[in-house]
Amino acid sequence: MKKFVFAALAASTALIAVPASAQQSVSGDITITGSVGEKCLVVTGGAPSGTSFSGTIALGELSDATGKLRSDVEATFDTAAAALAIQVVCTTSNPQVSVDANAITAATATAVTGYDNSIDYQANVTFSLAPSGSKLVSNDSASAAATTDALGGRLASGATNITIDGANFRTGSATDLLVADPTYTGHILITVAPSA
Amino acid sequence: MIGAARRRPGKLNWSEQMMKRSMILAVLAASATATPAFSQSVDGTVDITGSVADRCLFTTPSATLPLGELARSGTDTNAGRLDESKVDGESRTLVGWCNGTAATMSVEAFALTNSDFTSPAPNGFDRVINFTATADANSESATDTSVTAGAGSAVNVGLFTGNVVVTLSESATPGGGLLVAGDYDGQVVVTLTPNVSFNQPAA
Repeated sequence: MKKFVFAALAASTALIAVPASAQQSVSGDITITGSVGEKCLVVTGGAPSGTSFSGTIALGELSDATGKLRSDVEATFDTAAAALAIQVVCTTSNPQVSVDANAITAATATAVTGYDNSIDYQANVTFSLAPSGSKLVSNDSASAAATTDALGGRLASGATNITIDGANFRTGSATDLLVADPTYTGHILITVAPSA
Repeated sequence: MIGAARRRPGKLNWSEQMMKRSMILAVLAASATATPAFSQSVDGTVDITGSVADRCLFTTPSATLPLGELARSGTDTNAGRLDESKVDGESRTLVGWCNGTAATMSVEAFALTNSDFTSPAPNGFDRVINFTATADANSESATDTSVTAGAGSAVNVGLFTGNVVVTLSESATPGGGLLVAGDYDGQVVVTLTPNVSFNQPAA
């Protein structure tokens, strides 16, 4: 009996000592995180070029043969504006933009009755959207406040996506003569923010 | 060798790894909470430039002033001599403008001269009637007499649009004689000169 127990114990021991033949795997999970900030930036020649852009629309002589505002000044404006290649990219889905047109005014000359030293106009700024479509934001220089609006979509990428044209160029009265001044200057201020 | 910690050069043991991981997580957590909400806008400015040349223009550039019979009628000693009332006070209105503040106006008067009788007037006769012309615009007056050649002094008429009123006065013949019969033609030339100082090279 003792021998039997010993044999059984030996058998039991022998069973426990045998290495397990089952394979044991492990798995790992590497979490990769990142983020993209809400931002807009100017692209020039395909490369980021900062957070501001500028351009000049030179209208030349503003008066016609009668001394009044040239009737074709709008055409001159649009031709010059079309040459501006403005590209802005934003990482957000609904950027907010504002457009503020300021009148084209004489640097020093003042006006008297029958004359004007300031030209008002409407600036039309068109933002191209992805994958298609556009958003028109207009502002008249006679309005002190800027026009602010949401684009309602993402800015188109890869090419010029902001274009400008002008309309309704005018003096205070259609019969007004323009006062002489070698420098008339106006501005269109455009802001593109990632979101409202 | 089971359980023996075999360490490669440069490798960290488990506790060191855990400590490093804790430090990395702490740094990441700190940087995550320290990053502000990122929002970058873009501003653009389009400058619009232009100019208006300095100039003047007559929109009514000429007028005719028919004076009629210039000699006195009647039978007294003045008969046949200049009737000054036919000339003095007569006026015509031109219309124009200058768009510069330093524009000037000048006048040149040309005497009424007999165009049919071109020879020198005989003694006791005249074939020329002199006068003074005055141009008024923008509350400024420029004058000239036909007695002397050339325009009178220019006055600064400045920025204006409207009438340029030309008035005749001080008519007289050189000798106070009888007027030779014929047609008499004279002229008043008003010159508006813009300020040409713009875009001129410095002296």
